Amino acid sequence: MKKPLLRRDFLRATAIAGGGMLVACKWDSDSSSDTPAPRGTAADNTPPTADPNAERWTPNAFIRISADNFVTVIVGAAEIGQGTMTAIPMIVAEELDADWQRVSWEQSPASAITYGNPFWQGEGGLGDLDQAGLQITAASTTVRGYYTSQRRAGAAVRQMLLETASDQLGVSVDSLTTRDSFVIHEASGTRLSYGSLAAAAAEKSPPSAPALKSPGEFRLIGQSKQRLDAREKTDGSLAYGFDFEIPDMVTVMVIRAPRFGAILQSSDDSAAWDVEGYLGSHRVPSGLAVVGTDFWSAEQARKQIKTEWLMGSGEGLSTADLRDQFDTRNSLPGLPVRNDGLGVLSSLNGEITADYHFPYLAHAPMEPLNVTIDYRGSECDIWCGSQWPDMDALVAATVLGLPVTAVNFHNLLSGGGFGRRACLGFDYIQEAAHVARAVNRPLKVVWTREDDIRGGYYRPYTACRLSASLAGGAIDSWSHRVASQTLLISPLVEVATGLVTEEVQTSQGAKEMPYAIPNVYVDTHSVINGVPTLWVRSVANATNVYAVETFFDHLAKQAGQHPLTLRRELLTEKPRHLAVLNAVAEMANWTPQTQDNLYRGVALFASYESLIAQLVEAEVVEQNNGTHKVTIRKIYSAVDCGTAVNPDLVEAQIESGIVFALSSALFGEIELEEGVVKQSNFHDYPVLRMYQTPAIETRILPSDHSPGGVGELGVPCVAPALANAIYAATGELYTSLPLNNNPSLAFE
Amino acid sequence: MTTPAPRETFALSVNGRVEQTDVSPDKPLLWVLRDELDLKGSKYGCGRALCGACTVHVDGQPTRACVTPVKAVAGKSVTTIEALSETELGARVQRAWASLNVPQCGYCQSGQIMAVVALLKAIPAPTDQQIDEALSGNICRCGMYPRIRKAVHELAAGGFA
Repeated sequence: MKKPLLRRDFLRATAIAGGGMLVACKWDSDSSSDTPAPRGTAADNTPPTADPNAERWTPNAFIRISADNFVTVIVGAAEIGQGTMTAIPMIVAEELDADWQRVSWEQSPASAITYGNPFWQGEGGLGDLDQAGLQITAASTTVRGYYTSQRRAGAAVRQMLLETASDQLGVSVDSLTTRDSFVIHEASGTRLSYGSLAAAAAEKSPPSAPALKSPGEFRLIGQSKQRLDAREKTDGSLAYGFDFEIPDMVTVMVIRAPRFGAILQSSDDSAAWDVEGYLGSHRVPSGLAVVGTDFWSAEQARKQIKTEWLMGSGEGLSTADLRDQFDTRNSLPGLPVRNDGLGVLSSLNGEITADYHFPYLAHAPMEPLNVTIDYRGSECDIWCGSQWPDMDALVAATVLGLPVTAVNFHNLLSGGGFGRRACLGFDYIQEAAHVARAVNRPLKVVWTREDDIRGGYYRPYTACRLSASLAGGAIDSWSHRVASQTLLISPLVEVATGLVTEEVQTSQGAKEMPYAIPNVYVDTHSVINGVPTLWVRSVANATNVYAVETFFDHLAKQAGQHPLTLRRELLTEKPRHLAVLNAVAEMANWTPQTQDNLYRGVALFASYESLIAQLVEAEVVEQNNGTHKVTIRKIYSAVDCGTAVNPDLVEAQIESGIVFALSSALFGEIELEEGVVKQSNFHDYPVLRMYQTPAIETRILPSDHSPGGVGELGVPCVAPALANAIYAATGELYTSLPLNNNPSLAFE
Repeated sequence: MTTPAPRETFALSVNGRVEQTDVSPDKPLLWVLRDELDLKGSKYGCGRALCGACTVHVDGQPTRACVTPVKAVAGKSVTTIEALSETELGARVQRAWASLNVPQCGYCQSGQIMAVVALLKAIPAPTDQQIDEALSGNICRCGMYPRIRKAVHELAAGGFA
């Protein structure tokens, strides 16, 4: 169902000093004239309700055109590496017909009402926030959420510029065209720059339903443009949060609890005063804030301080014990989230069963967490790379006892995020606000790599129990039970996201199992323990899709079918799934008849309104001692992400997802021993390096669908495709990650 | 655990300029560059020479500044990412990075680029194995290794001049 197209005040423009214009727009993604609401989740089934605020004006896209004919797109989403600051300007510039050489980006302030992603409209139950959407960069929503609003903003401004030129030249709008930031009157050869027209155009009434280009008219969308932030990311000039400085700033490191939830009992900093630059320490809820003049003095001083702790909720927890605990949970019924056919009856009584186990994982973005904060009693400025700036600002305001309007949150480009910078526990921002209150001077809280790896907010420990029955060589029933730690660790989350019953963060990837099996049952358990957990890139898809896709190959073998053939048979009703599967098989020249010295495994997955099939090609050689040496030769991906706004950046996201996924597939694991995190830095929490990275080939299938998300798409299929390739050689079902823990496997 | 040695004055040659600094000889070069000389292009990523984000050149050799005490570079020539575009090779590498969309978050790229420039100076046309050996100390959590490898090969072939 579509909402009315005409919105009274969907766009406002104002002239700016020195000529030029600033445009503020409000678009509701559901009111698109050419594109249905970009939703691919369970929300599809919910009919839209009457919106009493439909006519309220809240802007969410801004464009600035300067007199010297430069266009600046002010971007609400965060840049965490995925290319936001290039893709969003491309979308605006496309409809505006702007000269791409004269388009630049600017990060918006923190404000969901103004800059929130329309994807999240109606998600929060928070009035104006609902109208605007959350300003969260997560769930691969940036391009698909902002796509329509940004196109329409560009098209509306172009129309206003055309009308202004028509007035000035005394010719009809129809006789004018636009190209490269000029309005052109072909008949007279007159060219008027957007910059020269902008101030007058700001007086125009915005069109209520500007015409959008058809895909055949695109000049930018679909082109592999270079990133707009490449220069500052290659000459050292970009100031990330870690680099950002304010006058008279001190540096703070926090001694945090050695076990999650422990409370600081006492501290002794007498030895720290021998460290030059040590300025004292302050108790904060998360531990002891150690203040130094700079990073090194704070770090040196911190090493000299002794602390005593009262143990907390994470006391004594050892990950080695979780396997049995989670398996016990999985022997009991959970919350049903899918029940097809006689799924509930056949659930977990299948003749073939497997228990899967997945460890805690740390995000480990290259730039460790940091917050620069200048708290001045009645107001506060914060500089931080955040995936959720509006909520971070709100949480800081709450801690500081300030109205949110008194917190100026300056979002900075992040050195990676992967979910850690959209923290449901708001740990780092709360802590920084507490530190600011305690220290009461401009400061930066910095995390070392050890702080980052040991700081919690991990991908939750997860166990899956899959069970199936075969009848006449076909899969007759399938059940998938998930036990995972709940992410609902903060009441704020329920308010903000409305997640109260089914926890999508646990069921996703299991519930959407794509194969046509008559009886399917999926249920979930939410486990609570003292280890803080959080979404990590692709969230539960990474674990659930691993279980689904490896169990599928196991069943295919029991059924005497080739895994490619059986997938094709069970996807006949799903042409887009089938297309990516067939494409990836073709890329790798793999058929059920292929006989050579390589082993192949495939996996497929659809989410974020995109689809992917990935295929791993590996050599698997049995050694004299019976173990297998595995060499990954190549990873192929076939992607259907609808319209690829910038195909090279889509490919870059897939490549990035593959490397991220291989890190966790091969060796990613956070372990706790009696509550203490064992890993600390890249030597014991290794991530993939150059020499371990196989060849990668990615194909984007042509599509006119509206854009789907790609930031997480490349992650979930990699590990199961790899495990399936090894399974093809060894016949062993690998039910635990990381694979490197398996004593029978050695990876080259 | 001992506390750092008291301050001394060091004359450091950084990016062709001699800088006088008054710091503990134990202070890592990374923090002298960043906090004393305000050269923040070299990044902190691990503090233990595990990730390469802090890579600078000391007398032309790629060096992990986070574990190099400043006393170890007295009298030597330090080059950081900030000076790289002044060299022909450095500028070519930066063009390659932009052209091939190598950076994502970009945080590791100062270190990657310093490592690549050192590699190409030592071995103008490196093999894949030589690339692995020279660059595997630099972590890119965004996983842009295939693009870095491709860029190195294209640079070796004379690209981006």
